[in-house]
Amino acid sequence: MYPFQYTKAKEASEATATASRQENSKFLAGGTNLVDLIRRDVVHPDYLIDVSHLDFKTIKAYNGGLRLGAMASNSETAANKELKEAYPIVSQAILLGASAQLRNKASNGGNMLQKTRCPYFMSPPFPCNKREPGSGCSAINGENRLLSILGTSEKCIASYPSDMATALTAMDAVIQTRLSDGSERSIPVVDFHLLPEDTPWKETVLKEGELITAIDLPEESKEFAENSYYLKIRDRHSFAFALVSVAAALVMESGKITKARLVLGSVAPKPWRNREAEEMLLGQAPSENLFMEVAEKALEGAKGFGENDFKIPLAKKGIVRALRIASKSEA
Amino acid sequence: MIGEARNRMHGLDKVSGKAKYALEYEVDKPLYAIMVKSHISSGTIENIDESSIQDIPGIEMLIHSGNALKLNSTKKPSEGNPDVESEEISREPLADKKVYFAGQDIAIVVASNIEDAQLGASRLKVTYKKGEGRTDRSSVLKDYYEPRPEELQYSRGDFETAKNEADVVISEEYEIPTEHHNPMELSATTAIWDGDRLTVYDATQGVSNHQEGIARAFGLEPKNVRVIAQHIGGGFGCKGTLWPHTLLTAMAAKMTGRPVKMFLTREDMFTSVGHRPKVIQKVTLAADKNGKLEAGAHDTYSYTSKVGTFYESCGVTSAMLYDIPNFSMKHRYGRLNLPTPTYMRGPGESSGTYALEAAMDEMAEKLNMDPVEFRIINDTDRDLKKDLPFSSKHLKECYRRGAQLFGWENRNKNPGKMLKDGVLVGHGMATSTYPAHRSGGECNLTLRKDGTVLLRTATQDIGTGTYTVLGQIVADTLGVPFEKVIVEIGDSDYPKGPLSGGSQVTASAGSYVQLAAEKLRKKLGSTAIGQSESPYFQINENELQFENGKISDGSSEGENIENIVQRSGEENISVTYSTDETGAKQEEGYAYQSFGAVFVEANVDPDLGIITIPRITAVYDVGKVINRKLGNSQFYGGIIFGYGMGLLEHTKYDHGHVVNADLAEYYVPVNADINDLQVEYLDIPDYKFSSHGGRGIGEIGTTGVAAAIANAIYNATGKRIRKLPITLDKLI
Amino acid sequence: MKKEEIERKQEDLWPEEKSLIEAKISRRKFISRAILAAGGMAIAPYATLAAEAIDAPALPFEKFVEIETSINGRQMKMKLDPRTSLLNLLREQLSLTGTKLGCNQGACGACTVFIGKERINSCLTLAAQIDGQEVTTIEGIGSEEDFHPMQAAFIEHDGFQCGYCTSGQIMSAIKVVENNRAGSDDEIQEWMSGNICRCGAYKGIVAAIKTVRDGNYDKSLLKKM
Repeated sequence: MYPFQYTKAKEASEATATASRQENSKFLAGGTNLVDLIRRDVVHPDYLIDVSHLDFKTIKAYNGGLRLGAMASNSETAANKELKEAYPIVSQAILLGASAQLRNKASNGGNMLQKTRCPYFMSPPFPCNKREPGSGCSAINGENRLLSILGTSEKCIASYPSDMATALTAMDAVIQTRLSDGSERSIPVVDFHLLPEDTPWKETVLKEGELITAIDLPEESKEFAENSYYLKIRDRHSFAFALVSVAAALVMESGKITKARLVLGSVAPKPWRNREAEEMLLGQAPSENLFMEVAEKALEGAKGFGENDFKIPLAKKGIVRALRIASKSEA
Repeated sequence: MIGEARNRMHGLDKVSGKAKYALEYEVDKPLYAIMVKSHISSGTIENIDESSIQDIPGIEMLIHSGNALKLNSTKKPSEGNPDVESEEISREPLADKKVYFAGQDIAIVVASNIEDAQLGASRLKVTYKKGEGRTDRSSVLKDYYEPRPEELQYSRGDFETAKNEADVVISEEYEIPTEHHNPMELSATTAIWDGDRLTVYDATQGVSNHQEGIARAFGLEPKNVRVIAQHIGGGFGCKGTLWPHTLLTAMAAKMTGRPVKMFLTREDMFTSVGHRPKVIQKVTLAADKNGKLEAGAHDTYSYTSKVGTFYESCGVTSAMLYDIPNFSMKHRYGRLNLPTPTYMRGPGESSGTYALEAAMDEMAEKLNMDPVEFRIINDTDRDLKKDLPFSSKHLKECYRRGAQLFGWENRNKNPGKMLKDGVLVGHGMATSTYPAHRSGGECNLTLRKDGTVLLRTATQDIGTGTYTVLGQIVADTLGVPFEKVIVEIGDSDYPKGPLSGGSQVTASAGSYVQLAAEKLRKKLGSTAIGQSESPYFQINENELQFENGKISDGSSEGENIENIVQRSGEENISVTYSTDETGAKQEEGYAYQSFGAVFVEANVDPDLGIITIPRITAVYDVGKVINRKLGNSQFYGGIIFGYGMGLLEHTKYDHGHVVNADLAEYYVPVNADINDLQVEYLDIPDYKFSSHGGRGIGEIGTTGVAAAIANAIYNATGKRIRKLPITLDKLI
Repeated sequence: MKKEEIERKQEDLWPEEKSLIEAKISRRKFISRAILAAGGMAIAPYATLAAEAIDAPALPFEKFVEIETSINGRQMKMKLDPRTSLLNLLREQLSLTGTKLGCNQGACGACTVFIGKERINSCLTLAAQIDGQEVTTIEGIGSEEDFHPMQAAFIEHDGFQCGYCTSGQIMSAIKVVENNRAGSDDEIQEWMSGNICRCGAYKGIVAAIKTVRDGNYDKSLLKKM
């Protein structure tokens, strides 16, 4: 295993300062993804700054909404009473991810930084632009069943697997961070991940030494609680990555949809939200036809790479299903 | 005692973490070895740059072809058929710089700690000269050879003519992907030299075989090699062969002069301990309009490696399972630059019954017949290939009982028409079958002064329950309480015993152990009647009874059998019993085979293609089942293995490299996948085959399951998926 | 630890220690011999684990991490190679081999242990991260006299064959019952799906969990010999 030095940061300021000063350092929280990738010889940090114990563990009411501490575990978060009541889709999504053991260890902040499950990214003998910039993409003409159909580039077709982030995107959640100079900033989850374009190794907007401290769920999104659903379609009945997931959240008034959020997971390098598709739902009564049209729109521009062609029809059918369940319609 | 449901011997050790597996013995200052694997599929190693790892502090030694000990061939001189294996390159581990497959062992890094050994293995700079390799597994359809033995190329009657004259013909191609065993315990070895004597703790399915092979490799007397495997964390076939890592661990221990521990990583498990190869099968069936099969053909296309020969023989089952007078079977293989395939739970049978039984379903449909009835019509009491009657066959009862238990009469024979609670419901079935194998061995059985009975034989328990069933057989035959029997296996210092493979241990070891127990009982009786202080002094030996740890003449309560030992002045009374290689007490002139019928309900989401299997019912005809509780576990486990084959398992390659070499991407069944399983067995003893009437149950459970699932999915959806695994993308 | 043990003779040193000392790499304080084995070099008898430690050299790559922890109720203090996983610490240094190495990737659950009240995968947990935490392994459940009911129930329902995933299954099963995730078969199955059993003992595992949930396990199996 690649040798690294380890430091347990006493506080956030120390963590961010160390991270910005020390080249090739990484924050360590739950480690469920990072430790695996180091052992697989995929990432090679020289320094790990343990932030898991920092005081960002609480889940509390904030600004009318809910603040999820970055270091709170996925399990604790999913089980949180307020979350389950006000943002049930987030709890559902978390519980459909990984295993109970992994969720106990995985942090909310770390979940946002999950790496792709692209087999070539995880296999050092193969070229991979994300792992080794400029080496090429093995997946485009390779085994790409799990990979992206949207937001891809000629350099990378990796998909982002987080269920939690997909649901958070539907809830308009905002990531709070702390920078090394002590300043803080807010980044909507939807803007947090970058598309690969020509630089697939740049995955998020985070700067050197920038630490996720919390994820905020806004008060406005509480109104989706009644009509939301997270659909995860996978090969195994549990403990499997999504082939396609759909976060559908609606506000219904007198049989009409007045607000809509629709986000796809595991089909793109980031949670994939199509606002045009969402707008098509507004003012409409739920119907199979409407949902099918919305699905067509949501998959606009989708492109398969052979093995993953099925994701296009599957995502469409998944959208129809998720909207049907979220709208509680017989459509 | 035989047939009872007993708790597993060593259960307490297993639930408390005390049971020891290969890496868990305390050894003095061990070193850790990790394998370095080739990144190319074919070619030559130009250079291994030792300096690339020299600054890693824990590293003790790098072993590669330049400094490795030269090993002898591990094969017995008699092994191997020169006709079919002429293309095989005979090569011992690290013998030269040649590379024949991606993932081949090309060096080992030995270090004082695991982390540095792994670091060294990943950091070692190796340069290659790439050669022309062949890794495309579908290329065998065009470019193949036919191994000679009749076992693989066979025909009877006139297939072509009969097919042409038949009323109904189906001919389809079925494919299964490469699969990997993935037992939970990684293959692992601990090797310790003491002068010329070598002790190896190994995760092996055959301590006796490994002892011989290791001894041959290092030029030692077998008695100087001791292989210990008290507990093995599953095998399913991948721990049956002596793979390079075991020899390399012993080599590293010899070269460093320290005990060495090596475990394969989960990734290594996909390259270095075999696999079930991808197979393309072409099955043709021809019947008259009443459903009587007239002709059949089963052609298998698969591969083996450049450095080893293994033939997944899918057609063999088809040649005997039904009454098909005109039959043709071919097996064709390519030699590819891939790791050598090997036995995997029902090798040939699990893959072969998938194709045959899916084809049978297609035929039944084309004939507009019930799949169960169609099979009953074509049932046979004779193995037409061997031209022998079966020793004991009750397959029709399995069909009928299974159909009844399952509620087969509720099946809607029109596919895609049964919608219930929003899901498509389908019912499918298939025949299960697996041959009964047996081999010889030897054991010591000893009654000790304290009344305990000690059994020793060098077979092993890979989770199958060998400890327990051998204990039951001894207790039953000798008439002692089960708790008094101590079973010691998993050590090659004991008398030679069978490999845990081919579902043979209970029949093989179980028989010679039972005969040993009979011999010991006789010896105790004759000793007792010769002891003047014995209550049974000089009575007729035939009147003696052995029960509950007591000897009696039937009229009295009797006395504890250990009294016989105590009076003898010896520490114990002991017998040795051995059988030749064919095993004991097998009547000649029969074909030995087990059978079963498996019924599956499949639920399919009509839009999303998500498949759920709410229930599986199976009824087996496997002879006597020695332990009900453990027997059930074997069947459940076998069926779940078949579930994985049908719906999940798929090793993916890119240019000869496995690209899903982990348990997060190679899916095996999880708890949430498995719902109701209902298993029954007819429990009709087959005394023609074994002394206790059992025939072995380790593999039959897997056979037929994938086909029954595929047939149920067809019944649910109207879609014939002829390529495993059946994943939801194939149904949307 | 006694002073004479601390001042080991040169010949007692392992080769790698010697070479490092010869290379005049600064010696770091408080590293016990057992603990020097950080990457997993030696097996230290569980009972003799030192709460204090001796002088030994550092690896040139990285600092050792000093931690204090409790494992199955025993307090211990050690210095570790930061790469050491909790799993390797347990198995290779503390001889607590009941916790199993199945995939080393968090994908099988064979290595499941408790940190505090939660079950986690010890293969993906750096041992450095158990500083200040309480770890419980399969060796630490039940009591001196009795097995844990889940252990008895697994035997009764044959919730295993080869036994290799069993420790992890039992650790998970205990939490499934404790955390009220055993309401139905479906719920048990979902919450047990982080533990793979390749032998396919799932039916027995679910049955065992239900009997513990309902308190009707075979109590005669509880007593340790």
